[in-house]
Amino acid sequence: MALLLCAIFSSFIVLTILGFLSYFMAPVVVNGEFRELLGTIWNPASNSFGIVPMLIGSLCVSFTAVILAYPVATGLSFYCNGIGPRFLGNKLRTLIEFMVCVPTVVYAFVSAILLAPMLRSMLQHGSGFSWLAASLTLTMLVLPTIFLMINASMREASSKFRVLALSLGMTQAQTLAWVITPQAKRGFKAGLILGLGRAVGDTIISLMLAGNAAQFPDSVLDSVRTLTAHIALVVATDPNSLAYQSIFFCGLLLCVISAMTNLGLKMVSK
Amino acid sequence: MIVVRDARVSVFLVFIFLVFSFAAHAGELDRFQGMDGTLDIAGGTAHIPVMKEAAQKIMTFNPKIKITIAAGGSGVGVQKVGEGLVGIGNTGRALSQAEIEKFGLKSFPFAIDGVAVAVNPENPVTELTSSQVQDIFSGKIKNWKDVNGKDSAINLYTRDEASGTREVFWDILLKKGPVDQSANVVASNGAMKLALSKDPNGIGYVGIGHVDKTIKAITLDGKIPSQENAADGSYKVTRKLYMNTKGEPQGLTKAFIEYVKGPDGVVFIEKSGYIPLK
Repeated sequence: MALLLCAIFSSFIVLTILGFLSYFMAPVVVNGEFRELLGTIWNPASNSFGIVPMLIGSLCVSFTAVILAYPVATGLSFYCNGIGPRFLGNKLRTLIEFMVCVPTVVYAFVSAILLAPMLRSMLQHGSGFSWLAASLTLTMLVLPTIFLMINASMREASSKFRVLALSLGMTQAQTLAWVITPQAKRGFKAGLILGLGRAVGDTIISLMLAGNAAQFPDSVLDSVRTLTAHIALVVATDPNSLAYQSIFFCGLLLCVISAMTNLGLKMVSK
Repeated sequence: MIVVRDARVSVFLVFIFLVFSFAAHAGELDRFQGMDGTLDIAGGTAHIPVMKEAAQKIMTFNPKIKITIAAGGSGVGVQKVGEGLVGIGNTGRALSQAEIEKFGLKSFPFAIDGVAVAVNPENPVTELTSSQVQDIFSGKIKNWKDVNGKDSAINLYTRDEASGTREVFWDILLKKGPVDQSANVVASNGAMKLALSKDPNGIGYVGIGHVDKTIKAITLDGKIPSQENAADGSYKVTRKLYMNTKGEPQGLTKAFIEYVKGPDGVVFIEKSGYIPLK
């Protein structure tokens, strides 16, 4: 009963947020300024308020981070669940659990001081504040999230089936590949959803590392602006301006992106 | 054990409280004694840190006073104070004769907001002209060697849309000219300093009050962006910050303006990176 109330309450909050975003967006849609927001140029000085570059920026930065983090997290989960020695595996898990607790601003700040100047001097292109810098730092952020989801479901499957599989004569590797992994499918999917969610939703890392130029990137070393960083940069402007209105649209887009990844994965898995 | 710890905590809190209450000029706040009511403030974004600090001190001293602060820019400031919707309308520019006559407004300048062009301390370039800075930010000049620097690409850093520093820089120095779309955008004076202190090829701008040895302020058209040059007007990339009232201010509004222009206000103004006006 208490759980049901909690569930109703949280879905109510989510729906309220969506309702508010739509409510604030309504005037922009009604009087046609909406088309302005779908433009490809953001330059308030010349009355261009297109947020498509930010949408592309968000997708580039977050997908790259997940693509980098996912294989590493998967490998680490295998290591902790049979491939590696149990003692080291446990130590590793504790370390990664600790990584979840590190506030994102710490990653962002350290990267701004160390990673961005390093990329600049190594690659001799641009300022270092770039798509690549943001993605690499986001990788550190989403890796533990993905790992913990996969690891939890692999452990559960292990406790049920490992002894059985081993007693049937399967090797450790065979057990992992043919028994544990299929059983832990839900964890692999949940890790992907949560990882993407965190990567798309994080603000301070992209704000401090991506460079925030509202442009389409030509290379991973170019400066990009994400939807979340855009909201943070524009939120203090005049509430009557279209620049300010654009942040509600960004909020709505962010919700749509998470909802679509969720639904997409649900459909794929059926 | 818990009791002892609690006692320590409360002694500590009392101590902190005492330190803070003595730190403020106690006499300055006395003018708010026995007042109550609401003061609404709107307008310029650059003013907000100063207004906020003053409002917090006043409302802590006398909880019966309510002060609200809204942004919106200079235009909104004039409009709202002129229509009598707020007690004080802030502007980052002098009022036009038309505005003064139409609404019967009275202006109180209280600070100078100056902006310095800044680079990494390792950068050999120390001096630029206004037109060079305009060309650098529009993307016409892309290499430091074109302005007597070393042969390396220029990395541009600019500020977010809501920044008052950006407004001064863009209005006065760039004359509302274009800023290259690929320029990095940082969200505060602090972030600008951090970026420039780490990037030997970077160029950006900060409020004059924020210049320190982590970055190098560029001499612009032969004038050093110092507090003195900004105050006497020889350094041009500055503006005054004004509070405006409809007619002669009364009561709480008058007390607030006097407080901001008084010794406590000077502290808030300097802390926000501006130069107090005598």
